[in-house]
Amino acid sequence: MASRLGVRAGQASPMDLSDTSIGDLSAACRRESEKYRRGEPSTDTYCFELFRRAVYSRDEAAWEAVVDQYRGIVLAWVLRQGGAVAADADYWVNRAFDRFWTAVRPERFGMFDGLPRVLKYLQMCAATAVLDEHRVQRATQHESLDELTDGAPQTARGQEVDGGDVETGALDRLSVAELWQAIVREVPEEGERTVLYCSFALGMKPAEIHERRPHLYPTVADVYRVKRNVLDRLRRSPAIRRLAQVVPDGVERQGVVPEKGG
Amino acid sequence: MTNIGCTRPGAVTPEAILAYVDGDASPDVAQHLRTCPACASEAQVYSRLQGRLGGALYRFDCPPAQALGEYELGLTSPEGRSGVARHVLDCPHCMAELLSLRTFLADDMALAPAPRGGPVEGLRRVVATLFVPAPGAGAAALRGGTDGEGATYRVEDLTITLGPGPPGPRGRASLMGLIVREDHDLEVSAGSTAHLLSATGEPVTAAIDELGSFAFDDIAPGNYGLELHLPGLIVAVEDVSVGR
Ligand SMILES: [Zn+2]
Ligand SMILES: [Zn+2]
Repeated sequence: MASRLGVRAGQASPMDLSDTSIGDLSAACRRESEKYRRGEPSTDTYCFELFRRAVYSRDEAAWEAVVDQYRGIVLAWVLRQGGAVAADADYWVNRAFDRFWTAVRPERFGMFDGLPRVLKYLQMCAATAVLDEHRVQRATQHESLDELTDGAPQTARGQEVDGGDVETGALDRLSVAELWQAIVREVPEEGERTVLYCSFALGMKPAEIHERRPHLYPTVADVYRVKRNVLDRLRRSPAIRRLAQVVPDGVERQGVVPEKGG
Repeated sequence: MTNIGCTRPGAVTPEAILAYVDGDASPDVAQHLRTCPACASEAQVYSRLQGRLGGALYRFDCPPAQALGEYELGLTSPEGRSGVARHVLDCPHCMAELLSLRTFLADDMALAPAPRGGPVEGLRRVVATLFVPAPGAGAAALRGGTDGEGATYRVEDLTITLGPGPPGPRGRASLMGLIVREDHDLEVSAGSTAHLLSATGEPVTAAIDELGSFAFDDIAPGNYGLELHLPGLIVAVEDVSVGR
């Protein structure tokens, strides 16, 4: 582990790098990384200190040196993901570094016991930046399904069904929690709630719900029965209508009459 | 429930209309919906309601991708770990993301120097996959006394055999397991443990004895994830079905 580099001769200890300039650290990190890549004995100390200054001390110059030093490696990770990600590599390299910077606040730097763990975390950021982007895209697709789903028929376009609230589909996170709480109040029974959760939080079709929970729903028809029942309850619930802005009054009155008796 | 204005009352049930919206309907239901404005309008109401709920709730309680990444890197607190594990067992999207992260992070090429191996030292985490023996192969000998319903998993030079133990009271189940290392003895330290992670309850822990066997008694039937904590290594076995 001991450094053989004469960085700042005269320091109390070769490992006490607190007075070492960013420029010197950066040069030493580069040199050691080269040795490491060639399979020669090397030390992580300078590179780790560079990260520590950047993340723990929020030192902008250190962060620039980190980005400069590791851009090539992050680029290799981005390119390995292929497709549209590789085609827009510079963008994703920057996103990976941004994510690392945001996720690792000074108080969290202690979770790294050395450079390998720091770099593994950076590698992880190169993947999660892309995963989160995919999630956003999927969620947007879902919202645009508002209008029509799976070729459902277009009817009675004139009848106020398409009120002005279509664009408000993207509820913020607070409203989503509120919506789910309202659903929980409206649908206290676990078997019913599971169908809702699987259908809308997990995006499963009834056949898939039956396959995954055969003990709860022995047939696909059971899933449909529960789902229909619960959806009919939700569309009549003022709280759910308000939160999800689901169906304007006129449509429901025109459409169905609730079953009488049992 | 009657659909007012239906051209052929009773021709389709509300469930059938819902199935149509979910892309699941039979041709005659689809045919009726093409010609009956009242049922078509009802389908549209379901479609919009589902679109709204899906748009608002889709993956609303999934841990952020970063949390899955930190889980994979072992940076999550023990309480956080069981929460993430439980969710992942239930959620096919997070499961797929976790597996893609695992594959991606297992690749050290960009970091590795020529001769010294990967840069991450210490605890490694590997996933054991189901091993299907060729007919007549000797794998049955590994079944450790279970009644043939056992399943064998492999990763590196480890073979993990899982099978049902004696049934417990009131429909409860048990699970027995055996870890065998191919060429040499399994190193099991005093702290080696097996953890059963469920989607609905707290994780259950059992000790792994010096012969590599472990047992969970009195557990609810269901699907679990299993983690074996061995010296320097965590072996994960996904989707273990117990008592089914
Ligand atoms: Zn009709
Ligand atoms: Zn999820």
